[in-house]
Amino acid sequence: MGSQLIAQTCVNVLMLASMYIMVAMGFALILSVLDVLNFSHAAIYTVGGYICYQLTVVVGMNQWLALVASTISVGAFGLFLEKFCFRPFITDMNRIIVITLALIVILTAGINVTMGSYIKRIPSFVSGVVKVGGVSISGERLATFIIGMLLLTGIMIIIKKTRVGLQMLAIAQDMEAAALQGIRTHRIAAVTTFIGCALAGVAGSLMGAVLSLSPYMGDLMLVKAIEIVILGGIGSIGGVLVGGLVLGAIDAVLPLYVSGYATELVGLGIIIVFLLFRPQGLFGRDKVRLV
Amino acid sequence: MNGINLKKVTLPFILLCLFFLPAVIRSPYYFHTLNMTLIYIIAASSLRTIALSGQISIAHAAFMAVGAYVSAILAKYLGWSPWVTIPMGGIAGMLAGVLVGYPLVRVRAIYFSMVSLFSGMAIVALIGVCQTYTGGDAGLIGIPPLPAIDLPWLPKIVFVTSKVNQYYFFLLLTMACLFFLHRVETSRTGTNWSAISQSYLVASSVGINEAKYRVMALAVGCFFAGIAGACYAHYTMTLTSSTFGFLPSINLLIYVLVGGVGNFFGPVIGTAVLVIIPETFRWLKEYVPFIFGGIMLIVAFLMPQGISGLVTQIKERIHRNSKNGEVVHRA
Amino acid sequence: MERLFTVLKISGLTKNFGGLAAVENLSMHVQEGEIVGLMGPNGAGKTTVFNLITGFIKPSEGNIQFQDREISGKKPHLIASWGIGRTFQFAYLFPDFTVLENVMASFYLYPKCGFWEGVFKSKSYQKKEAIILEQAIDILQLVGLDKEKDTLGKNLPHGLQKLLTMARAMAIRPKILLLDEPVGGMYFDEVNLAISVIERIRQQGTALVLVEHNMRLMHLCDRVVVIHFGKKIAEGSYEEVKNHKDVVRAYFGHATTPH
Repeated sequence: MGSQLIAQTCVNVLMLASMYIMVAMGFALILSVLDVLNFSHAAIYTVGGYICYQLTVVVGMNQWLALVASTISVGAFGLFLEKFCFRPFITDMNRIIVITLALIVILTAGINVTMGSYIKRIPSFVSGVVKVGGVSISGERLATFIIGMLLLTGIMIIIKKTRVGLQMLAIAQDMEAAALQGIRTHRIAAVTTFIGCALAGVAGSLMGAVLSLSPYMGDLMLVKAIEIVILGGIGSIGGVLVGGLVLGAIDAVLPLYVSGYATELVGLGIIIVFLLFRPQGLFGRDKVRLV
Repeated sequence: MNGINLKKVTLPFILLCLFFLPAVIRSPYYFHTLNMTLIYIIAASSLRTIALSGQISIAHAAFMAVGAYVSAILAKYLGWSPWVTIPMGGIAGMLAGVLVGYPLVRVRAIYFSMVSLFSGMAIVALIGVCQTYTGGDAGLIGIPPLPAIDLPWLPKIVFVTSKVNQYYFFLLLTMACLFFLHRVETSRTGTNWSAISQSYLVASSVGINEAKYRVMALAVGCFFAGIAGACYAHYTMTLTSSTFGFLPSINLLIYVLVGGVGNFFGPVIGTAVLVIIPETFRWLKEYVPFIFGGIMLIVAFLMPQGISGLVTQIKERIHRNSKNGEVVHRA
Repeated sequence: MERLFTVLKISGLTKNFGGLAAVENLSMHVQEGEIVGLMGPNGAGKTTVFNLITGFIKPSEGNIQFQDREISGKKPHLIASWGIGRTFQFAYLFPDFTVLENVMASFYLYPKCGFWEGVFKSKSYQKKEAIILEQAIDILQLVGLDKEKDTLGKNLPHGLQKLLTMARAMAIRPKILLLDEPVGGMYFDEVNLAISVIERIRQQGTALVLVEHNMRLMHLCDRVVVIHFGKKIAEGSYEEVKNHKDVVRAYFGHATTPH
């Protein structure tokens, strides 16, 4: 196998992994801190990409500005989500599930209606190729990976080092206890949702530039995110990173050898078998949530 | 509520209306919608049966797929009569359910749901991989329809050309399936399922074998999923890999949740509302999902127990108001 | 005194949780018709012992014999079917079932009802259901909960919930009943009721093992076993044990001067 192909594949793995991790991290944060399965994460990912597209192609904004703007708007939507859709129904998981599913349906339909279902492409953020030691790597993909890494590192720093982050961890462990300690749970929940949605939005925009945009791209990404979170273990940040890397590797490497369905089958098979031996995932808490 | 016992009268009344529907409505298009609704009602109700044991499965459409493809392949390539292959589709679904359910016994609650999601997708991927038999993406066409019933003492009943005849068949089939499911739910087995779902610790301590009953729930539920899938195959006569998968499984779950998971008829109502209403707004084309999503939001925000819980909800509200805010325990 | 039949025999029972011994080399036995108390400060491992006996946890070492059958490491529902009943420290019950349904659901083992029987609701099935109903009401009367039979489990006050868990455990007609803090959190008169129920259970021939801190219940016991850090530190009648220096040290951290 030529070194060009190896280098290309490595970049693909890293790029895909960072994309997956961003979306999965957002999903995992909302799951851990708010105890909410935010299915609408799929739609937020898609919407983020489309807003960036609108701003860049139709409005003519600078791409990077568009990226920031779309991320912030999607994050703001997250605030709205938290306040009106999650907070009032925090005790009734079924209702929240129905609401988030309804949101995917409506938002996806909304995109379909306003933008059409044709595949679109955001112009590259970074064009051209980069030559590293004799092999050329797509600048776009490298940039995606770098941006992803920077963001994720930033998020990790926020979670582990800042007060807000520590409060998030506290709420993730026990919301009632945290509230009794005086932590403003509503405030932190809002911040968490903002961050989670923003991550999804960035991923959507980057994906729109690297590959393409379609109204249904969120669905597959959501499943990947769930796979990663479960594989890594609910409640573990490190797990999301490792899980994302594993899945990114599988999805970038296997299609070189086998067809579409087989890739999916192998990927899923590995995950299922692993979970049967270790249901709590790689780094999940041993105490699986009981009935 | 005195006078006529509403509970006892409603069901027979509805059934009567359903039986005489063809006298009032002529268009075969309506019956097509009803036929699809009935098929999905069988699937949604059996999904709820599984949920009774505390297992929320997000893979139900995949088990429909198993039944559909098995029945279709047996009928198309081996020439067996669909009257035989449909029950075989049910059995295939049941076996798949047991095969998947047995290892999944060690995961509970949300972990079960997630792993069931992956399992369902794996099943669909498996079907896609076996291209030679299943046709993969291109799909399987030319599936034999329900053969005509040609008994000496009856006039010949043809199905393939008459949506109304098929409607009666599906109506009777759905009634039979629902009757069976109701019977199971109200038996000791159903009680054991409810016990496991409320507390598997307590259930184990009184001797209830959690693993056995959970697999049993999946067996029963997936059997009917297989039947529904097989019916779908012989009704539409084509199958593609996108018919069943992650999204249809979520749809079935939505039908159950919106209809109300606590009531036996919840899935029936949920399916009927979420299939028929968007279908009547078909002319809205790409705006139809707004109707679907809109209904979901209305139910989620206003009806905590789903549509089937609406009557109870209203009763409780009246009760509470008349007692001037005194808290009343639900009888 | 005639030699009574040993119902439960535990030898060398050990459970390690990643380096920490929750239960260490525990040996004890329970005879037919006895009430044995299991005492020890909080965290001594009493509930772990129960979980080991009833199969919710697998032992690392040791044997548990129940009526000549080796039961260590077997599944909980099997152990229950062989005749060991238990309650849990936190009043676990079926919250969405009524009191009556709670007990009826616990009649899983006798009489056995099959899947198809239930679907067809045959005459024999209906007879079995009637038997279950009758016996459930009997138990509720024994425990004094028959007036509350239609109350939802989650709506019962805490003390009555604990009584319900006892009723539930009795439905499997156990030869030995393990009660984990049966009167924890109960009011004085509820405790009285619990004591009379325990006496009646003993009269029916069921052996009992109690984990309790309440002194009045300890007086009921024929024998008391005291454990601390998973090890047995004393055994004997309650009077003998309560002044044992190791026991006193375990509870109070120091030995009292004998008086």
